[in-house]
This record gives sequence, structure tokens and C-alpha cells, in this order.
Amino acid sequence: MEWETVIGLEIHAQLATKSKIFSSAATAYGAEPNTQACAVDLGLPGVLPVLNKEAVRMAAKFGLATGSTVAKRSVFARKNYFYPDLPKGYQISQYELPIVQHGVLDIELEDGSVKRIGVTRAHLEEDAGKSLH
Amino acid sequence: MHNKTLAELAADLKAKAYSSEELTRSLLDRIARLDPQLNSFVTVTADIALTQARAADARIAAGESGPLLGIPYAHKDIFCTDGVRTSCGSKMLDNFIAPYDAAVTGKLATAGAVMLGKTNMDEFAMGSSNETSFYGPVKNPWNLDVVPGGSSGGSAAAVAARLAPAATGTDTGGSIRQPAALCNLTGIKPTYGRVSRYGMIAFASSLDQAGPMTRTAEDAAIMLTAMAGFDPRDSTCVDRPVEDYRAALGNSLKGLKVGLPKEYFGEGLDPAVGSVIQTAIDALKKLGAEPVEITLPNTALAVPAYYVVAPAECSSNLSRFDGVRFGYRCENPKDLEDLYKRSRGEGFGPEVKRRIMIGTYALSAGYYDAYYLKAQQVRHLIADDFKQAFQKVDVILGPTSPTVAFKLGEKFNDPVTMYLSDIYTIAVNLAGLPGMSIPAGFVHDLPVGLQLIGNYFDEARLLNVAHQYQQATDWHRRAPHGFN
Repeated sequence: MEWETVIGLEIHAQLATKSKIFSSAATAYGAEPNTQACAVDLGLPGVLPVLNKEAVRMAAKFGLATGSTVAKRSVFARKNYFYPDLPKGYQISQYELPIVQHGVLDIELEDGSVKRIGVTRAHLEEDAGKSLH
Repeated sequence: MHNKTLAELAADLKAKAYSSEELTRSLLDRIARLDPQLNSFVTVTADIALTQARAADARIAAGESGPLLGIPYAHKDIFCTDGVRTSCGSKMLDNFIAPYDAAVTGKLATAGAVMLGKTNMDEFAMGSSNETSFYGPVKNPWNLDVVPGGSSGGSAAAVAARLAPAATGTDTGGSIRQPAALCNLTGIKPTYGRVSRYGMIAFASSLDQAGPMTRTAEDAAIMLTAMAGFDPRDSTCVDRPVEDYRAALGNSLKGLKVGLPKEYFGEGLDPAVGSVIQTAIDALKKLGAEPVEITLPNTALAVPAYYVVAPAECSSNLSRFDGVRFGYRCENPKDLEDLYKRSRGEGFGPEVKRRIMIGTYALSAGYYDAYYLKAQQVRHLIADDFKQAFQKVDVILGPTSPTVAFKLGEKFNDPVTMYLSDIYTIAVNLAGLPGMSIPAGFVHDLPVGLQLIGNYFDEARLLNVAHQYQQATDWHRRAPHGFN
């Protein structure tokens, strides 16, 4: 019997923005714990997220580089669950209308041939950096 | 002093008839003397008030003037206030000292307003009678056996009882307009996006909007001018210049087309309330307004759609109250799950839990399309009803509430009957339109509110109609016995 190997990858990449995706707090690598968290990050009562323009620009660039469709209208959705690193009780992610869809990435194999990898979709989302508890 | 309107007090302060400190002290005395009967304040911030009053007096002495400079107000306990407990009427936040100011708190402070304290409210703004508050019910100054309405019941009672000339409120399904109606006040819920929601503890994010509660339309115009405006911290806040809402108050109502939706005058409306509204329509006719019969055919769908949308959003918004970082935490949790379950189980009251459960169910996998998505579609139909109506009329008029204030306890154990008391106010939030309630008369010695609904960003016109009506009537000048 012949088998074909199909591998799907879910890749999380942190965009190199100066501030976080939904707040103006800094994202400098290696900073002291708790020095880059603001009221929005802590999910304090009353705070609201504001989308980082630069993150959208980077996602669009990624979409263009991979020949994807970059959505003119893209929707954020809340993924609700309780977890210690999730201050609001939900993660702001994307579901039905992600910013990037239907792209490709060509990679060169050892034998010199080119393999085309599909990019099904790319979401913009927030994620906890690291929580110590 | 306490019977004067905000505009009159501002003129007196400017003329140095008395100082903001004197005014503030006299109202703080009144609160200490009279509020134990009403329970309208959760926290009285006397030290902050006196500090702000002295600062305002210094600004006045330096020649500065402003419509809110040195004016005391009562602040609904849903707005975060730096360094002050912000409870949202809940045991969950009984120990929460906000570390930052809400946009509205900041704007009023900048305008020189003096915060007397934080007012009682239904827990997390969920209620129509102010009976769901962790701090106990608020009494209506017009009759201590009846409710003041909710959720901004403390703000309404405080202004009606002349403990403050103005208060802030928030309105998700009628929470400014219904208590304004039940307490003989003027209250306006602006267009969704007119006032920043930053720092206002979220109940249902797509419906919540802040607005003022005062005794006159002119005072509401002054307050709204200060509260409204673009804020980059709230992505739903609209970047559009703020009008001086006082500028249009004097416009004539001649030729104004006033839509009367037949659905707002049918079954469920107390006939005595209906007849008060009819008298008000006659008064507006004398001012030149022309009544036009209209229909809002999807009115009956508003309450059911609201009780899917609002609980769904609340179930998500209130998940941050988990006992980990702020607010109530249960004693001796045995593990993480126990911490979550008991902190939330002990920290929230029954109405909040009811809505979290309804909302969680409506959002759960397999039900989302049937409930939340369907309710969002109904919302479009309701908004479309209004859109059609505003092609024919300038404003829409009807009762704010189907009855006058009801007895404490009367509807508390019957949530559906309680929900139906908001039948005329809820559609306005679902459509995102501005709505307002003004005093129109009395039934059984209790106030009746007249509701005005405007097109998007037409707050100036609503305030104009209300002001003109108040020039021709004196219902809004009546004060409750014992508080006049």
C-alpha cells in the first residue's frame, strides 16, 4: 500500500512591532517581568483593545509576499476560555474572515526542485508572551 | 441652592454669588442628611469633592469660566475613577480601587466638574429597578415604596432628590431613560459611538453608551457637550466634531414632523400613561409640531433579540472576573478550577448569573447561528424600521416606560415581566440611535416620562424639542415632597 505524507503546520510568529497588537505597551525582548504590561494587557474592568496599525501592515505585507488574498474587510472574534495566562477570559483572534488567505510559499528542496506549500490562512491575534506562576 | 438647575448654578458661580466649595459642602450635607432614606450613593467622595471644588474656585478666581467649572455631579459607579472604589454595584468589585480614570471621568474633571460620589446601580447594569445591586435597592424620592428604575437608579434618585444637579448614567437597554422617566428627570442616551466607552465597565459592548441625567434639557445639553467626543482608546467612538448642544435649544418647532409609532401606543401601555403622553403631543402641536402616524413593525422582536445579544456579550465581557488579578476571590481555593468556580459563584448575584448562563448557552457551539446570529439579523430589521420612519419624520415620540414606577419587590422574582418594562427603550439601543426621556406629567402622583428618539447624531434636535417643551410646561420643575 502506498501512503502519501500530508503535513499541516500551525505557525505562531511574533510580529516585530514596537508595541503590542491591542495596546500601546512595549514588546522589548528580554525586559524585566511586569514592566511591559498596561491596564489593557491586564484586562482591567473598562479597558478596550485598539488595533496596532503596524501589525496590520505587516500582515498585509506577508499576504502580498505569499501571493495571498489580503482581506479588505477582516473580522476579529473572541475565543472564550478560562486560563491563567488569559486575563480577559477570551483571546482576540480571527475566525471567519481572517486578514490573509489562499497564499503559497515556494521552497527549494535539496535536489534543486521547487515545492509549493499552500498558505491556507493567516490570522492576526494576541497571545501571552510568558506567564510565570 | 439645591433646587437650582446646573445652568443657574453655573451663572451664580461665575457671578461669585457663592463658591463651588460652599455649594459642594451644602450638597454633601444634604447627602449625609437625606441619602440614608434613598441609598443612592455607594461611595461619597467628600475629600475629592472638596479638593476639586477648591481647585475650581481657584480657576474661577483666576478669571476662568466654563459651564461645568465648579459644578458638583454624581457619578455612576460603572465609570472607573482613579483611586476610588469602582464597584459596578457588585460584590465582585466591592474591593476594586480603579487605578485609572474612564474617559468620561477624565473629561468631566477637565471641565472642572466636582465629583460628589459614586452612585448605586443594578449589578453590572443588569436590571430595571436597581434591586439587583449588592448595596441594596435604591428608593424613589417620589415615593419611598417604589423603585427608581434602573440600572442608573442611584443617579436618578440623587438628581431627583436634589442631592446633585446632574449625574452620569449608562444605557444598554434603557438604563438612562427608564430611571429618568420614573424619577421625573431629563436623560439622554446618545448615538452609539458619540461618547467614549473607555473605562466604563462593559456590560454589552455593542449596546452600551454613556449619557447625562439632569433636571432640564439645557443641563443635559451642557453635560453632553462635555462628555461627548472622539477618543482613540475606544475604536467604536466616532471621530466627528462635538456640537455645542446648547446652540440649537432655541430653535422653533414649527413644521417639525413627530412620528408616533402605533406599536408604542397599543397593548401593554397603561392607559393613564397613554393619556399623559397624548396631552404632551397636544402641547407640542401648540408649539408648531406636526404629529405623523408611523409604524415600526418589528417592535415586538426587540425584547427577545436584546435578551440574546446582551447576555451573549455580557457572558464574554464578565469572564475577566475570575478571582485571579482583581476583585473578589473565594477563601482557600483548593485548585485553579475551584478558584474560578467559587470566586464567580460567590461574587456574582443571581441576575448576573442568569444572564451569563443565557449568554454562554446562546454562544455555545451549535447554537451560535440559531441565537446570536439570528438576533443580529433581527437587529438589522429593527434598525431598518427606524431608517424607513426617519425618511418621513424628524423625531419619534412615545412613552419611555409602559407604566409609572412599580413597588419594590413587585417584579423582582418575575424576570420576564421586568424585562418587558423596557419594551419601548430597547429597540433604540439595538439600532444605535439617540433616545431621550423627559418629564411629561404624573399618574398616581408618580412621574411619567416621554421618550424622544432621533436619527443618528441628531442629539441637538432631541435636546431642542425637549427644551422647547420644557419652556411650555413645568413638569420638570416639580420636586418630590420631602426633597424640595
